[in-house]
Amino acid sequence: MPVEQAPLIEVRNVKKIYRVGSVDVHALRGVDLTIEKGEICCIIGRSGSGKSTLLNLLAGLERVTSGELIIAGKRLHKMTQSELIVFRQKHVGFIFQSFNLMPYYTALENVAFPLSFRGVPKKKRNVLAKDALKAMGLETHMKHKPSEMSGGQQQRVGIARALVADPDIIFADEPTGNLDSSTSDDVMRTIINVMRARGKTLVMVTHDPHMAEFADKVVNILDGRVVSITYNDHAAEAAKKNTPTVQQGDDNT
Amino acid sequence: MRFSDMLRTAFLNLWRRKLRAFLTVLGMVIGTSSIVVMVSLGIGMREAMIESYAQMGSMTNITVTRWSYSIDANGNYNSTEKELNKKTVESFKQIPGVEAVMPRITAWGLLKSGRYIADIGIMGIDTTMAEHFGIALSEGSYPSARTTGGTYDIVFASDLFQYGYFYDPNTGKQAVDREGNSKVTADSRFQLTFDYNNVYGGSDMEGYTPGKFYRLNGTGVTAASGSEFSYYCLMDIEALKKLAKENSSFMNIDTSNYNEVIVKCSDTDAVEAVNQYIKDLGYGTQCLQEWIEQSEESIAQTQYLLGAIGGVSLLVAAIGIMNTMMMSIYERTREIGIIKVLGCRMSNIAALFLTESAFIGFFGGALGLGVSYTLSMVLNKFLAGSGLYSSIPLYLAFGAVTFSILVALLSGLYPALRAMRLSPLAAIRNE
Repeated sequence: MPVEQAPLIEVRNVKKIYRVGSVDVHALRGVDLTIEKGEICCIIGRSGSGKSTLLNLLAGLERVTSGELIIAGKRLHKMTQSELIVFRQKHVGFIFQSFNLMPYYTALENVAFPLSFRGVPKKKRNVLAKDALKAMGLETHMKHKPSEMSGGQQQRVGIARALVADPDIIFADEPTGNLDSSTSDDVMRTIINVMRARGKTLVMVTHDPHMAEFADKVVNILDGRVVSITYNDHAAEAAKKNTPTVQQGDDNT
Repeated sequence: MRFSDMLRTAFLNLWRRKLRAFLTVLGMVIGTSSIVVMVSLGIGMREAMIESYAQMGSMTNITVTRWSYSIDANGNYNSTEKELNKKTVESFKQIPGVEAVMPRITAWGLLKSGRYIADIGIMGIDTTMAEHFGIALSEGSYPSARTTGGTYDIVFASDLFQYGYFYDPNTGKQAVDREGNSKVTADSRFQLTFDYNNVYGGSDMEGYTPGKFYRLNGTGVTAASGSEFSYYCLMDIEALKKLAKENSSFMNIDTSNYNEVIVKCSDTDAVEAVNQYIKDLGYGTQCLQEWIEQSEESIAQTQYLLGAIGGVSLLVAAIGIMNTMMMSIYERTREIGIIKVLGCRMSNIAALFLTESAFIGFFGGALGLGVSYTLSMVLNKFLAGSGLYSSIPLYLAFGAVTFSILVALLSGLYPALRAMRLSPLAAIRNE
């Protein structure tokens, strides 16, 4: 276990080079970054800036080319594929841009699905999944398939799925990218609230500066380098602020 | 991942694409049933062969003769002759695995009853051993060695009366009535001679001493079992020897030796060793097991051929499975990526796809077996009497299902490895 002061995520001079044909593409050119436990961090940048690559590395979906990547005391840059999967099982929840729910499963089955990979028995899976869906305000939609739900509802199922195994860190890749603007705010608020309530660390990638307003810390990336890090003191209030036009759990995208 | 979850998830994955899964299973059904039916025909051939040999005599018997033949290195036939007498019979009894030994001599004679006669084979046996060798009587008792007053005991072959062996030598007509029943029965009076001239003329030639007629006392009739003994009349071996000596001018039988000795082994497993032992002593031997082994070799070749023909369709079905699984993986690249991100282990992914293949193999095998049993029944109905016969023993049934599961697993192996190696990043990419 890391000592009290050690940050949850530590990125030291991380580089990622993709080989496309005979050309090396430098996606990350040496990134240094620390993220504390319970922090809500937003990585923002234009498309092609390397923000998604950084997220993939942090979530253990890819391996770094060089540099050090230490998460929860684990040295990810030294891990093999299967070790990374075990790491993901224990520490990581993931929210996708395009929801990525299994179309043939109900909301409940979708949320329970990741638990089956962890060997949780069916009864316990369903109890945990129900709790997670209730927390998202979806108790009436448990038997619905994704095609029978709106985009906002689908993404809430996605959030429930990311949280069901109780991971330390949630990664979100443009979580509102496929939603209209009013639903986006709503979903974003849901995410931020639940993360704060549970003391989870959230690392989110977006190209939308508006979404960055919800974060404690905004990391600006350009051409594979961190250009600036800004802290947002009002993030907590922004999340709590309730715009009267949007009702939670009632969107129509 | 729990095994039950694995099975359920794999089954659901197949169920989602019912038609394609069904078509792939259908391929396996055809593959499995063609291999099972082909092999069942081979097994049927083998069973029929063993059955037909079993009808010819006991599987545990070895017939020992005085002569043995061999071919030397130059391709010349050599024959050796050995003594086969009371002493050798006793020595055979000492061989481990031997249950009983019975000497026998066979002779040919003419049986006369009124104006009817029949050509018969007479087997001289050791009546104390007869029961060991399955020489059963349908009525009466075994013949005794008694020869007093020129009357000899005999047991009639059941075939004699059943198939109308008796005929009138002057007209050539069979001695049967309108219903086809023999006019001569076991209760008739019989005489036996070994001199054919007594019947066919020539016995009144000058200076010719015709063979004697012997009175017979029928003590029984052999059982109509269709065994090797059913067409022989039975006499005590010593009585028959005496007759052979008296009629040496008509019969060429060496009375100092038995012409055959039958050795019965305690069980079929002992036959091979006993047979080899006696062979090594320099005797000629014949046993059904040896013939069966030779026939089995040729049947095995036929079986391989039949199996290979069936195997071709199974191979095609296996390629079908591989194709289906590959297609499925390309379609589900994104899904595989998602479950990897959600924390599914590499081995779980491979196992998931292998389970799907195994399901196809299992359903294909099980349904194929059902089809095989149906086909086998139909074949046996329509091919009855043609010599072809299909038999599916339990081991073939279980073996077929196991084999089709194995084949399916094998063809699913490469797709499963491909699925395992897919990148989780496929989940992140947006269409």
